[in-house]
Amino acid sequence: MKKKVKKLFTAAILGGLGFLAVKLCQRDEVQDKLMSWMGEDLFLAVLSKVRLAGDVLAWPIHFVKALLP
Amino acid sequence: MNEKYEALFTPFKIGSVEIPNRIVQCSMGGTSLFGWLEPSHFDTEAADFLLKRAKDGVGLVLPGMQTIRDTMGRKWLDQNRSMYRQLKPYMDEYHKTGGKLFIQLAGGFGRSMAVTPWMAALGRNDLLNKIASPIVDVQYSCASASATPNRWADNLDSRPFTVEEIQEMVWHFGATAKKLREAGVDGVEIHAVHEGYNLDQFAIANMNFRNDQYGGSLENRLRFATEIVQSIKQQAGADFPVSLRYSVRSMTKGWRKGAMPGEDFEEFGRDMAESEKVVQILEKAGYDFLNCDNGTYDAWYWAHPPQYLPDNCNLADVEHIRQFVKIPVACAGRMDPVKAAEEIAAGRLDAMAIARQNLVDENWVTKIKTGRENEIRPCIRCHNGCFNFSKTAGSENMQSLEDSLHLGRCALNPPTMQHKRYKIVPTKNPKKVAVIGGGIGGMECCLVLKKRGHKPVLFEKTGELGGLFITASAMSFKENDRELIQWYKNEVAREGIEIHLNTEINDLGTLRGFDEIIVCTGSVPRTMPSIKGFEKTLNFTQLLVEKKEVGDKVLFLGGGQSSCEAAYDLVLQGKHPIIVEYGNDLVAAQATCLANTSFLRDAMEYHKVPVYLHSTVTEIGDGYAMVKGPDGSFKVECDAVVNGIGFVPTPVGEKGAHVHRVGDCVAIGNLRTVIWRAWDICMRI
Repeated sequence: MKKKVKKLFTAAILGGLGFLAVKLCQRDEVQDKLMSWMGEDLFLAVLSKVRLAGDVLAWPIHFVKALLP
Repeated sequence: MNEKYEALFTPFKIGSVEIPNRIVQCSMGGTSLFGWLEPSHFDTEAADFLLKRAKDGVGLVLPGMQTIRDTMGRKWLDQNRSMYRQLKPYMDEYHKTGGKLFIQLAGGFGRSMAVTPWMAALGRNDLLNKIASPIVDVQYSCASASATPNRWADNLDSRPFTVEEIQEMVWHFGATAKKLREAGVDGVEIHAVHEGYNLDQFAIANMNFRNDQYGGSLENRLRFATEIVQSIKQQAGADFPVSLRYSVRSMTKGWRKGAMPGEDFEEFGRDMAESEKVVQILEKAGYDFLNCDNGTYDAWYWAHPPQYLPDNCNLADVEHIRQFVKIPVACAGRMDPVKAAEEIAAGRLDAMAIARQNLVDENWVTKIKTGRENEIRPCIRCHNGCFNFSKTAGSENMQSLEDSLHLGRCALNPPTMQHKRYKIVPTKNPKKVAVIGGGIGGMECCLVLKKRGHKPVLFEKTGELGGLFITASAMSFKENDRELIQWYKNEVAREGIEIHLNTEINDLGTLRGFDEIIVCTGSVPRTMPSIKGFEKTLNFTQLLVEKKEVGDKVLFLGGGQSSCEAAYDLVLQGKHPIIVEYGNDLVAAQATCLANTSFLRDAMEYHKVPVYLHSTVTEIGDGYAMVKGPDGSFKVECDAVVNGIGFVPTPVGEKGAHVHRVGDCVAIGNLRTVIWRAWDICMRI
């Protein structure tokens, strides 16, 4: 039981950090910094893949939302 | 208001609903209010886009088509209660604009389903399809009246719908319409006895071999469409308006073969004589409005006309069919607002349907109303951002997943349907930016930078703005391209951009006093000196802009889009082009819409242009070229050879933290790659 709680807690912390990271990366000033570090070609390529991943993740979210009363 | 548009701004009625003017925004895939190829949900991006169109003054907006059953997830559209709860306040807000909104409900794609390779693999394998069916059932999504060949994938036939499946779908049309009405939607449009979609496949004798109540006689073939309108009227109310998207003529010669403008051909789909009867049956069944054009997926360019087709290309047919019904009729297909207003004023037409211009310029209705036509950014009908399903011989739909999920965007206007990703945010740190190259990329950079508060300075080596796009726009049928160049020239002048013409920058070190530099120096034609006599070839600029004498027979080395367009232009001049292409098909490019490419392929065939596939040119001599094909080498007589083997980027200087590159000098692309990258870079300066 303790192990399960620990796992859930870790998952929640990681999820929260992930959410914060996504929110942070959505800020213009953070994107500007990332682009200057990575170079514009790599940055734009990564950005496009991240957006695609977001779009695909939206499918199950929409599906579950539609099941809610 | 300019008098020539007056008739466009008069109200008309569809059933019991008054539409404030005659401007109808047709449905465009991707602009769906409940998501595009996703589990249905209220789509805030589309909602924002559609509301802006209503605010601009579009009288009737039709969001992108909505399959009555989700392609992904398989839920019926009437089952998602939270979606309708979100829709109601949106419709209240929408109605404050005075505009009306009909939802387009689709009875499926049938054989027109643009399957990608992984979908085709599922569709061909019963076991895999069964396993995947709770998420995506390709065989159901491709199901049709009868076993007919898929438009996109070889060796994939539609399975016929069962009678129970048809009747289940008919009931859900009614149930969905009822919920939409309760949420405040003004009407529905049924998609479609049109463009070779599922209901059209039921209606066309050569696509429907059934011997039950849904096949055989014309009345039987239209039974699916008539039962749908009856179900809607029964469940949502007899006074709830129902429009029908309708193709007057199929313009189809056979599977995957369309008819050219002016061609005398035997109709494979619906001809005018049958169409005259069809519209009367549909009107009698209860439809209140016909939203018309021509074509099927096999003759796709009639429904989504590229620049190769003339303005108002479907108008004569639509006006003919209007004489057989009493309900109002709209016409779509490269409609010119001036002509449309004339026809409406003369009582020959009821409304003008325009789709993709609404993606390019969010204020075009306001602009025509206030006499600012020269400020309208024109649609060039490229379909690169909004509709880039593409296909070559032997391939399925080659569209990327990212594009599949986001139809309805615009190559020329990145904020369309992605307004959170592409937006003008005023800068807090204005900079002086040198932009090298006055092509489309350079001018777009200047406009974005200026709107953000920077000070762009444009350097162009020639005496004219437009770059390589001047060549691309030089063909007789590229009037929209020429309008686009003029629009850019007007805009950079209106924004007061500092421009230095006849100023070539070869060394970035000579640019002093600039905080940032953007290199937009484009590309030059690729050369192939290994071909003996290659120096005799002409490039496209010499052919199209400088109009060098080329004689009658012109051989194109390479069969890409530029070659095929230039060849078609020569055909229109009465000349005789020849195409030699290394690959297995003409215009073998991803992201170029099949509506555009299939026209070029069909046109080459119709005009009997000799096309040598799997072939290369090995030698160019005076009056001939040696061609090596799968069966050996042979001599082709020609008066000139045009280099159509592509382009290579020509950037100036090295990249750096303050030196950026935009356009073809990065990688060869199209206007979408040029303009979207201009925004990607300029939003972050």
